[in-house]
Parts: sequence; structure tokens; C-alpha cells
Amino acid sequence: MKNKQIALSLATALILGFISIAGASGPLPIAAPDASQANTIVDTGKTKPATLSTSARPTMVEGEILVTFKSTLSSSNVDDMVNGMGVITAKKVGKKNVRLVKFSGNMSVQQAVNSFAADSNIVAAQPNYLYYPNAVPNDSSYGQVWAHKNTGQTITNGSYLTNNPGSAGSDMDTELAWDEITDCSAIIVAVIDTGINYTHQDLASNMWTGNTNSGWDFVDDDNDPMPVDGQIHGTHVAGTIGARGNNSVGVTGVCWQIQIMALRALGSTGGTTSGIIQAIEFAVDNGAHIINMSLGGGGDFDSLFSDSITYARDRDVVVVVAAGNEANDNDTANASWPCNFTQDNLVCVAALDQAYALADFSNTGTTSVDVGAPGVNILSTWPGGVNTVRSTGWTQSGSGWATTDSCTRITGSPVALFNPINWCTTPNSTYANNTDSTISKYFPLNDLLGAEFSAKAIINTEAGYDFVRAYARANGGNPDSTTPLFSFSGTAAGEISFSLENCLTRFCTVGFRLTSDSSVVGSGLALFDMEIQKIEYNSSTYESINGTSMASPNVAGIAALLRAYNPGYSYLDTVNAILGSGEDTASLVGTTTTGKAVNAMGALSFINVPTGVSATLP
Amino acid sequence: MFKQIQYLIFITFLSTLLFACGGGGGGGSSPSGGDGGDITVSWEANKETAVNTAGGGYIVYFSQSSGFNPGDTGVSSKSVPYVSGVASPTTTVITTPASGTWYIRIAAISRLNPPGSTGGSESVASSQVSVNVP
Repeated sequence: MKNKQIALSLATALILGFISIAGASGPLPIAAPDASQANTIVDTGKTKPATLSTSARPTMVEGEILVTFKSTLSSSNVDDMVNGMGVITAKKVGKKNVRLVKFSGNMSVQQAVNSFAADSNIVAAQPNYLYYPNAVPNDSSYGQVWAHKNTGQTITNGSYLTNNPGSAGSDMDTELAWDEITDCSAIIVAVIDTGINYTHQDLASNMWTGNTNSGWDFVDDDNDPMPVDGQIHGTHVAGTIGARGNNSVGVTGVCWQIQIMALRALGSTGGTTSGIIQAIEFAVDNGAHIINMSLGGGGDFDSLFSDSITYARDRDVVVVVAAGNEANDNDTANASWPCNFTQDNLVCVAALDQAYALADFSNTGTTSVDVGAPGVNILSTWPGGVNTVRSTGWTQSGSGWATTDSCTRITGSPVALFNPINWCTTPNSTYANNTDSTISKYFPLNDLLGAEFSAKAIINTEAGYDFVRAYARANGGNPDSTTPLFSFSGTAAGEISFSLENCLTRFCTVGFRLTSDSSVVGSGLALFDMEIQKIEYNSSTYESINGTSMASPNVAGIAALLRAYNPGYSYLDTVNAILGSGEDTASLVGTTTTGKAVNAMGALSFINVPTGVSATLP
Repeated sequence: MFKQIQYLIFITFLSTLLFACGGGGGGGSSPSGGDGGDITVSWEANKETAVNTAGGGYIVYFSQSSGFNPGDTGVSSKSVPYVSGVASPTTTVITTPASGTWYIRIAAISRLNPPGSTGGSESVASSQVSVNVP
């Protein structure tokens, strides 16, 4: 009976509170937006009325409190009591007599706490506080990713020597942004690049799932965008955008979860308009929200490429590109495409070092380059590890060849092959006229990401008549019937290397051929320190490299954060937020259109100017 | 007891309807001799989540000086905070203290602080519109 009386008094308090608030500013519908409840402040000159708090995120849930009833009350007693209190819902929380009470939104949390706390059957009443992740991921190498949190740390094995370490705080404030959002899994970012090792441990779960292999290969025109030529670039770019966050291993992308679409349009010798525009169309037509193109070329205006940027714009796709690494001013005769295209869905990015100085290689342009972003000593995902094989045991099929691991003319253990046969022992020896002989060796190159042959070479042949050529044949046999991968006539000393990307088979034959005409001979050739660099697929390698190519994906990642956080954002809203919110940076003043370094938290807190204002007499 | 609450909600609903009708009448009943009156102001919704959640919203600035800035002396304002649902309100009624031509601008408020700031985040104010209060 006593309980019932108390319940009644509490309910009365709720009702009174409700009526008095409603009476103060006019009746309010429950839980429906109505601007009429806001107080009008007249003639104060205030720019920010106190009623509209813009301080940090809320600390408690409005319309809810947690109420602890005496432990002597049974659970059903408590249920009876709260049912009599006129609250919207009361849910049991935990094992004690605690209820999560939801009440009308017209009473403040404090008013509700005061009302309930006065009840003698209630031990305590408190707000239902809000907690947020301390969004620092647990990825093992996160501390090396200075773009997110620059503590002045030294980047291990960083090849860019200036400002390593740099300045604490010269970063994108990504950790602040992560307090609001880390999950961009609703967003598709297309990486138009050299392909991606989509099996990498930090990428596999963040790849686009729209087709079998998460993208397309426009170099080989097949459905597998794996970088079969061993190019590392695209995999590194992808990790900066979206290496899985908080998975205990490796690095952390700007987005912890995302959908990365792998579009291979660059091979070991670059890419073409044809491949790139197909990749852009594929990205747009398959739902990409953002395209990253860490690539550039310095030719004339490419109208088809430009048209494809427009195609992306007309379908609401943001395009983020690199400024280029030639230390050029793109605004002069040294235009760099796509950076210099002028569509408003395109953001062109310069590279900053760890102290937010401009990287010494970064292109600039006060009308073409928009912003700067971290672009040196960037640690990210790598498609595989390099396994270097030094090998002798070559098979001679013609005359004059020899191999050795010991040659008096070359110090150390040279792993050499040469022609003529006495090249090592008799310095003035020469090959014979009318020579046509080949030496070759099988290499098992199957199941590799890529392979490259390299050697030091000393060559002396009759220029224009006597030739040294190199070949590789995918399925065994004499390689000299194939197109040469290397061809030289004359005198030179230096390194030679060629990709074996088209020979990644169980029996790849690599061969060298010496041909001479009927007159004039030379001292022939010696190849030493011969190596096959086998790039083996693995899912756990990371490396740090430098480039505006590494800066661009930091911005693409912020674009993804923005579009994930603000689902209504158009391409233009996204670009406005990126360009309008950066951190003023001295090295970018006079070198970019904005003078700003991108900032993830700045972009999230950016507000577009309200539009469509109308005012009428009622 | 529960029934009583339901009844109360119903009453509130009815009185809201009444207020909505009466509100218009209130504007029309302003004295016409220069004492001001009501203006209904509307705008397009901002797309930022941080404008359309608790702590976000809008501010309506109004002044009789064309080309005014929100920080100018004598500018009036009305806050229109987020209340509930998917978006902050995009319309409100302001009451001017005098008749004549009034100029109006809207700024949006984000609940997020930019890095290094605790003062909150307010957008640049919109372009102004005007209305003549008889």
C-alpha cells in the first residue's frame, strides 16, 4: 500500500513537471521536432545562444536514467512499482534491482534523477552516461603510422631522411575523428593502380565483395587484379586507405572497415588512357563512392581521361589524385594529369614530411594542387616478400660460354657467366666471328607474385653488328625464339634487369645469346652477381615508402570517413569539407590552392553553409 | 495510472493542434502600429550528422540592417536545436520587436569540435533574405 502511494507521488511529479514545462513555452508533442520550443533571444548581439551547446559529444542519454531499488524488494515488487510510475519503459539491467527507466523527453535527466531519488524505496538514481571508445587501435605497428598520430616518433627504416623524427602533432588528428567513426564499411573506394594483393592479412576482410576477386585487371583484361608483375604500389596505397583497424596486426588505415575495389590499370611499365578510363567506368558503374588515383602523366591534355572524371562527377563520385613526384610546379608548362583537371569532384594532393614541410619531391601548384597530406615514410601493406636466388648451373647449347663462382677479374663470389670461355683468365681474349650461341637455365617461378632478373654486366661487342640478347620462355625449351627482353650492341658496363612477369611458370627458361657477324670481334660479355628476385605472395609484409602516391590515399580515406559519417553527403559536400577544414600549413601556402593540410577531425566537424532560406509572414 | 498517462498524452496532442492553429492567429494579431510580429523562417536541412543529432541544430539571426553579420551589435537570434528524430528542425517562427524590413540569415551548429577548439563549431551564416513586417 505504501508503495502505491509513493508511486502515485512520483507519477504526480512527472506530470507536474510535464505540464509546467509545456506551459512555459507552449504545448509540445512528445518526441517530435518542433522549433517553437526554442527560446527567442532578442537584441543580445550574441552569436551563440547558451541554450545550444556545441561543446563535445553528449555525456548522457537524454530521456533515460538508471534507478537502483532496495535489494530487499523482490524483482516483481519492483516491476509493479515502476509500472505504476507512468514511465515509458523500465528494463531490468544486470543482476541487481536496477532498472533502465525511459521517461518523457520533456523532463531533464536531472529532474528525473531528483524525483526518483526522493523515493525511500530507491537507493539511487543516476544518469545513463555515455562512453566512447578511446579510439586507438591495437594494430601492432600502429605506432609507426605517424599520419594518424605524430608523437615525434622515428620511423624505422624510413628512407626519407629529412625530419625523421618530425614534429609531434603534425598529423591528421585521425584519433579524434576515430572517436566519432572508424567504420566506413558502407563506402566503396576504388584504387586504380598496379593491382592489390587482396589476400593480405590487413586487407582481405576490407576488400569489395562485388565480384570474385574484388575488382578487375585492365592490364591483362581479366578478372584478377593481383599484381602479377610484382608491382607493390597499389597494395601499399590500399593499406593507407583501409588496412583493417584494431585487428592486432600490422598497420591501421584511415578507415578500420571499408570496401576496397582493386582495379589494376598500371603494369610494370605504367598504364594507358585506355586502361584508366575503363577502370574509372568500372568503378563508377559498380557503385564506388570514391576513386583514388595515385598516378600521373605529363603529356598534353587528355580529353578522354578528362571525360571520365566528368563521368564520375555526374554520378556523384569523388576522385582523389596525387600531385606528382617531380618537384615541379604543375601550373607552369609542367602540367601533371590527372592533377591538373579542373572538375570540382577532383582533389589533388601534395606530400608532407613528418614536420609538415613539403616533401622535396612533391609537385605543387597554386591553381592545380589543392591540399597536402602525409606522404613520406608511410608504412603500409606490401604484396609479398622478396626472395633472392643466386644461381649457377647454366646449360650451354652453343660455343664459348662458361660459368664460374670464382673469377680472378671479379672480386668475391661473382656467380658469373661469360663468353668467350676464357674471359676470366685471359683479359684480351675475344669471341669468335659467326658466333650464334645460347646459354640458358630453368627457374621454377610458379606461384609467385613477380620475378625480376638482375646482374652486373660488362659488354664489348662490335656495335651494330654483334649482339647480346636476353630471353625468357614460359614453358621451357630454348628461349631464343621469343622476343628479347634485353638487347645490346657495343660497349657498356653497368646493371641490367628485366621483369619475368610473363614467365611465372614451373619451367621458366632464362637465356642469353651472343651473335656476331663475319668480321670484327670484341671481348664479349661477363654477367656477374646474377640474381633472380622472386616476389613471393605473402600476407604479412609491410614497408614504408615515399610519394604523393602515399599522400593521396590519406585524403581518399578521409573522404570515405566523411561519406560514411554523413550518408547524405554529395561529392561536392565531401570535397567542400576536405578543402574547407584543413590545418593551415606554412609550407602549403603559395604552393597549393588552400594552403592547408587535410585534417580528419576538421573535416568531420566542418559544416556546410545552410541554403534555401525563405521567410514569410505567417 | 497508466490510463491517466495515456489520457495526458492525448490532451497534449490536442493542445498542440490548438496551438498550431492559434499560433498563426497570434502572428496576425500583432499590433500593426510598428510593434513587430511573427515571421516564419524555413531552410534546407544540412546533411551533416553532427548538425542533426543532440548538440547540433541551427541559429536564426535577424536584424533590420541589410548586410549584417551575426556578430554585429543589435543582431537578434533564436536557437533552433536538435530535438529528436532524424534531423534538426528546418523551420521556426521568430518574433520581431518592431515592424519594418527584417533581414534574416541562418547558421548551422555542429556538435563536434574542430581540433584544438572547445568552442564548438558554427557554419558561416547563409545569404540573407528579407521580409517586411507590417
